[in-house]
Amino acid sequence: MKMLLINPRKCTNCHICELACSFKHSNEFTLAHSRVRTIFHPDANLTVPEICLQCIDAACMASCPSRAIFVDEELGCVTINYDKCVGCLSCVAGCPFGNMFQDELNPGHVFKCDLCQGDPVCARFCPTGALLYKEIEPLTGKQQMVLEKEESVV
Amino acid sequence: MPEIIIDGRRYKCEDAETILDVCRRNDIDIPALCHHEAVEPFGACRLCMVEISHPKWPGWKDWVTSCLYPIQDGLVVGTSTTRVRRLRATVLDLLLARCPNSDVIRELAEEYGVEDTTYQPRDDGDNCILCGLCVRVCEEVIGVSAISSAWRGVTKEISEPLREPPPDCIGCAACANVCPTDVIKVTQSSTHRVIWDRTFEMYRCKECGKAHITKEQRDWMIKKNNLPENYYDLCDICKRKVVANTQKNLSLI
Repeated sequence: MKMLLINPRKCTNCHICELACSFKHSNEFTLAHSRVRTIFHPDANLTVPEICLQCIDAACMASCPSRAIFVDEELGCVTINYDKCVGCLSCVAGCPFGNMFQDELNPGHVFKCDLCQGDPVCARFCPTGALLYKEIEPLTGKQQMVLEKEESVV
Repeated sequence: MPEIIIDGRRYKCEDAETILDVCRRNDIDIPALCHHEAVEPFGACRLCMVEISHPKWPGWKDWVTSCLYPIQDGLVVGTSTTRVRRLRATVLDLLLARCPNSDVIRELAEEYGVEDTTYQPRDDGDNCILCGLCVRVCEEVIGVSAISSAWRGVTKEISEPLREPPPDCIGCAACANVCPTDVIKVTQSSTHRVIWDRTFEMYRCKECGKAHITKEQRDWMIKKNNLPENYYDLCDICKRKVVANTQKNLSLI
């Protein structure tokens, strides 16, 4: 399965991902419409791009009272079914990473990263490779065992 | 898998679907004001009327609300026959008399050739078409039942209990978001939200003061989902800052 990888050390704070995302989804270069946001740390000279992590057991999905959020298995993407959404903003308040957004002009409308249906423009336009959309190798048997062991400890 | 014929074309469908579900999935346009995917179909607005017939019912036709009619194998559906358009025009004529100032109704009516209502329009009326979508969303989705329909017949209205600010309302504004004619008014500031004549205080971010939800909605969600008390303390921006800080610390190792 393909995944969106974030590497803050490669990010140069150029904001191209935000602009590309905004233009892809709203045909405007407005950072408020972007699904990806960068946060600059001047003390460490490091920029962290923040984007939906597509959690398997997503908090937005659990908090949605109308069950409008579901996992698109094919894409591995947590997706909003807008036909079911009632605009109560439970998901915006519920996402622990702050990657669900409320439309400021249309307060009942929420949006999140939809991986651009399989071709994320943020990763396509990222000049340094801080955002990469690539095939992830499945875990080896040993890694899987370590993971299961850790889970059983938790 | 059952198959039905819509406007002369064959469509595959699931077992427990309604005609409207099949049409929506295949991008066939059927107007519907009271329908919402999140709640059970209700059949209040009567705009989604379609014509049905079946090879087993020779010479027999019926006109039904597609949102409520479950499909059966071999059903023949007409979504825009002359009779269907006439039925919808009649419904829109009546709706236009009820809500002469509603843009949504006016646009739909023009689409069906109804320029002006043939009935006496209501002078003092609001734009409510009594579809009950707000009541159903409040009850079925949010699970609060703060509002309901009151009275019957011509005096029917959507109302708070005793026409006072509803005590059970959590101020989530879902009713206002789903309302097809935008009757329910929400006034929002950074600190307060006013809906159904009740003023709600917003639950503001502990760091920056930005607010998404009301205090009542926060209490209700914590109770419903068994969450810790501090779960909703930060807004989305401050939560992103926390995550970015963690990632910074991880990158510096």
